[in-house]
Amino acid sequence: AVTAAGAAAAPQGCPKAALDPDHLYNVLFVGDSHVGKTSFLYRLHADTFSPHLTATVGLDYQIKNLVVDNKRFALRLWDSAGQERYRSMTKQFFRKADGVVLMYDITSEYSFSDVRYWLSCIQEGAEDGVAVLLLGNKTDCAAQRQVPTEEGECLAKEHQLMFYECSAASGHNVFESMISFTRLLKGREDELKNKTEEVPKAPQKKKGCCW
Amino acid sequence: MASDGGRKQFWKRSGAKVPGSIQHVYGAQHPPFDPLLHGTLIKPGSKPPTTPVKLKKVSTFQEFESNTSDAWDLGDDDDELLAIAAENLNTEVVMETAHKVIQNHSKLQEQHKFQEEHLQEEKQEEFAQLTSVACGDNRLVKSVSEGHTSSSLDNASENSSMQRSQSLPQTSIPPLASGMADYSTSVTPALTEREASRLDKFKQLLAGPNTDLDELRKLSWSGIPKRVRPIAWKLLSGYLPANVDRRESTLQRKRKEYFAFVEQYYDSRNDENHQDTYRQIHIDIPRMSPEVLRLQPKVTEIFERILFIWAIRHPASGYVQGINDLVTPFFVVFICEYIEEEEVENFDVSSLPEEVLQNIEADSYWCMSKLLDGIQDNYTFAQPGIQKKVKMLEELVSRIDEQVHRHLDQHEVKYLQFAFRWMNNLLMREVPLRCTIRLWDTYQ
Repeated sequence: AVTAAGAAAAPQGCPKAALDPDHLYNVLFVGDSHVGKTSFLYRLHADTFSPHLTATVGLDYQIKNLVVDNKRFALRLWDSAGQERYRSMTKQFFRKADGVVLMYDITSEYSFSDVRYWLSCIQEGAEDGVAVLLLGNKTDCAAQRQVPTEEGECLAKEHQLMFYECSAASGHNVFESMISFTRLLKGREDELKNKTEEVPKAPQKKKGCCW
Repeated sequence: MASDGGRKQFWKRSGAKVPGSIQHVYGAQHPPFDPLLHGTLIKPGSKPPTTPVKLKKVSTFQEFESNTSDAWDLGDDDDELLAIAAENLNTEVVMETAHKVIQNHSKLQEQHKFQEEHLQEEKQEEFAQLTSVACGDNRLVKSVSEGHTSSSLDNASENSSMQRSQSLPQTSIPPLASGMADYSTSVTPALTEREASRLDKFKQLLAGPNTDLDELRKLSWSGIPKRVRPIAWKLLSGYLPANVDRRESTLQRKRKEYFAFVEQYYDSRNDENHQDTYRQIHIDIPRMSPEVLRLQPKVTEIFERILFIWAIRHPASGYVQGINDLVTPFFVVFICEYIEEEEVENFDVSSLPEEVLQNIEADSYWCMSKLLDGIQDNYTFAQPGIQKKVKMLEELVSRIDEQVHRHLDQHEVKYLQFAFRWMNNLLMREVPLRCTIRLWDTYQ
């Protein structure tokens, strides 16, 4: 298993992974406003927590390099704004996502009930069979919990999503979930390749599909 | 990563290339004054008194100006004002004018390029230094100086020299820097002779009996002295009438009107149909950028009221993240009217009398409203105003710096990805607050 610390140490200072990744995936983060999308990405990027991050406007973007199972992965992470008014803008970017991370806040039932709305957006806007990771954030705020773990699990099962609970504040499950998700993305890519093997013009999807 | 490098490159160069922000400015404008902006924009760079476009614009503005006074006479009917404004703000005209301005500049530039190139280099350097003194903010300084280095290294200097001269009209360089210094080098309150004479000019203009807004705007282009900034902003935004005798009564009336709104609407913030709006405002204010006055509870309260009332009164757009940022410059500037302290940031707002705070709150509300009236379609469904402006930026870049445009295109970087926030928050997330305030002097 890859430890969080190991995963964190490798990417930033590893120019090889950055310059020449074996695999490159576009991952879009969606979910209600204030559930912790930006904080999650900040934890992933700097391995710290800042309570003073500003509300995201439009889209933000960063690259995370990971080494998983001895392979170099570059994840293009797209952080979207959660407020409703921005959704028409966010929707334009669903189509190019290889994976979507759908986040809710375990201390907000409201954000959990919106998960179904977001799933419909994904269904509508993203490619068929896009990998989806459902994340329940803020496990550090156990006292304010409004959404039981089982409910998240149940919803994930129903829609065949990968599921984790995590905390951007404490770091709980942040790297673990992304590493699992990377494996899932890799699996999807392999599947897709196998399927299209016979077709001669199989698109080399991952190379140079910057957007 | 290639495209990562591309982004960096873009940012570096954008430091020197302010023409992109010309687009921006149309959004930042309150529409009634839009036409004049073109006049003002044309002046600094161009020596021969330019095209008929400019004349046309100015006369339109004069027409409008007389209409505005009428509107004030009628009492305060915002709808009427808006209608007049809409008549005057025609995107096609704006676009056309922008085209012409740029064409003119590039023609002129071709002619003067060789004589001026050397001079510009010097000016540019001087400006970078001045800015670094005035701003004390690494981010901006870096972008300015890097922009300079990268463009002088760049051999495609035909383009870049044109941009530089546009972004830094020569006549405006010294005042621009001094305007910023006015706001930040507050340690030495003694005014220089030039600053004192500028302040006098403003005072004369403001004294009336009818402030010439045209003249005031011209003077404000190169920065408004801190002491007269609150009143100048209130006039330029269209909140206060040009006539001195009517100002006090207008203030009183508008302040009363605002608090009548508060009384009428604010209790409904927890009603079912408004609670989403209130909830969003409530969670956004603590995570605003830049942090206002260290977010004292009193300030939070005031911001929540201003934003909630505005949202309720403008259901077509409602509250959208980013609008909250737009209150800050007004609030910070208007507080300066009542305090001696040079540094607003650490000032304890609750030490002000309640009545004074109410005045600041109402004034901030109305000025923000005036600003937003002109850019409401930035925040309505699907945000057409922003889409349009990003498109305009894209067209502008493709025309004046094809290399950058092609580079972005090659790497499939969409303008929407990086320019959305510029437009949505009127650059407030990109530059420090004191620079935003200084920018608004010019573009009010």
